[in-house]
Amino acid sequence: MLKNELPHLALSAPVNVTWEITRLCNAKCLHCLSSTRMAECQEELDFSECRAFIDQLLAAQVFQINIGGGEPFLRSDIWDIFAYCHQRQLVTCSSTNGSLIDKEAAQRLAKSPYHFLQISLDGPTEKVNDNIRGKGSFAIAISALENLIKANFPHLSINTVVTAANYKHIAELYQLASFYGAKLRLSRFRPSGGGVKMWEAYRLSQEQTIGLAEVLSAHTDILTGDSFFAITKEDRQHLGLNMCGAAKLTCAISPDGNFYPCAFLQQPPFLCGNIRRESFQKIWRQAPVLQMLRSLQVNACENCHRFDICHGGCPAIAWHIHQDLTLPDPTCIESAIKNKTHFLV
Amino acid sequence: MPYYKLHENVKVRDESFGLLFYICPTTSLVFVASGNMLKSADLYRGGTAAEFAADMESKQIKTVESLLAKLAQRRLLYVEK
Repeated sequence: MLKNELPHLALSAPVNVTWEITRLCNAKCLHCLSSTRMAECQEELDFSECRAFIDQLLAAQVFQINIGGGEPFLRSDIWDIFAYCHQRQLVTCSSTNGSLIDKEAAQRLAKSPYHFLQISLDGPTEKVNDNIRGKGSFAIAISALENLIKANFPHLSINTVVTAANYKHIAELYQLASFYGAKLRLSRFRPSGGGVKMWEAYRLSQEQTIGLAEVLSAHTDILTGDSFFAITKEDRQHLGLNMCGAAKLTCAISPDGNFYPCAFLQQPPFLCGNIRRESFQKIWRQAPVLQMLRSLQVNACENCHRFDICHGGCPAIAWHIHQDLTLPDPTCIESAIKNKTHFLV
Repeated sequence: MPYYKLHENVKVRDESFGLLFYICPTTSLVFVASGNMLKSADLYRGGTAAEFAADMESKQIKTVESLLAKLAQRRLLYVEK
């Protein structure tokens, strides 16, 4: 199938669902995408509602759940939720700060072939990481990594949100991950949640965006998600689908069951429904917000030579900056390169 | 005649364009524009090209055979000869 056809597909169900399973958190990361919203979150889904939701995902043939929060391991029933998924061969990918991954937890996690884990770490040293994720968070994450490695946990990655405060250290983070036999996975920083306050301080400058693209070109085994195709060079384009997956491949569920197109578009205009009141598949097929995103055109980008591999980049960033989904991703690499050229001439 | 079945580490579902495969150990996707030629339930159950193409014309059986061989080559299916 041609890659250019992918952005126009309407899948019968998402490939994966991001599930912010709890608002509980024991960290205070400055850029947290969820921090400001979680206070507004109503009562969380209880275990029986979680099971019913998982049953709906299985019926829809969703392949994978990305479990986050909050800190998912703070939920007292998280192990039962994992077991319920894994017994039904549903892959889970959990994002954690590592604070509750002791030796016993690591051994327990290593028993399931259906579990992937991302440990959040935003710097290769205590100084860089703890300035962003809070005092003591580096030591906690490293301890979790070591426990997981000792338990032979197979699907392990370090997840880093790239900001102006740590972009210089990506190569060192790559080495750190390699040392532990883990993958490094990068996420884009967005002006969402706590990221709104930190946007000016943490967003990458255009020069930093170009520098990051060079590091990523040099290390093609660094994993990326979250619309990285808009800020990487053409030599990485074969590594991913190069399309915004919101409403097409993925969606997001909040702790109280609200359904959104993606984790970065959890504002009232993008609320598609609630899985407590409507069926998951009905929302996926019929929500007007999802249909609007599936036919979204970023006309201003259509004459760009990268359009076929970018399609306008991340609409969430355009919305958070300009309140307009149809505008180009304001942080895309092409505009950075163009501006650099202007400086040179 | 070779017998094909979905690899145990792979999941598949029917889509409007054909089949969407998900490889569990890598969490990667494979989009196959196979139209109505193959159904995911058949791949879970397993069978020969002739069994999968039971209601098709002989010309189409060749296409199904070729498609199954390609899917096996990509290790989405395992094959018993």
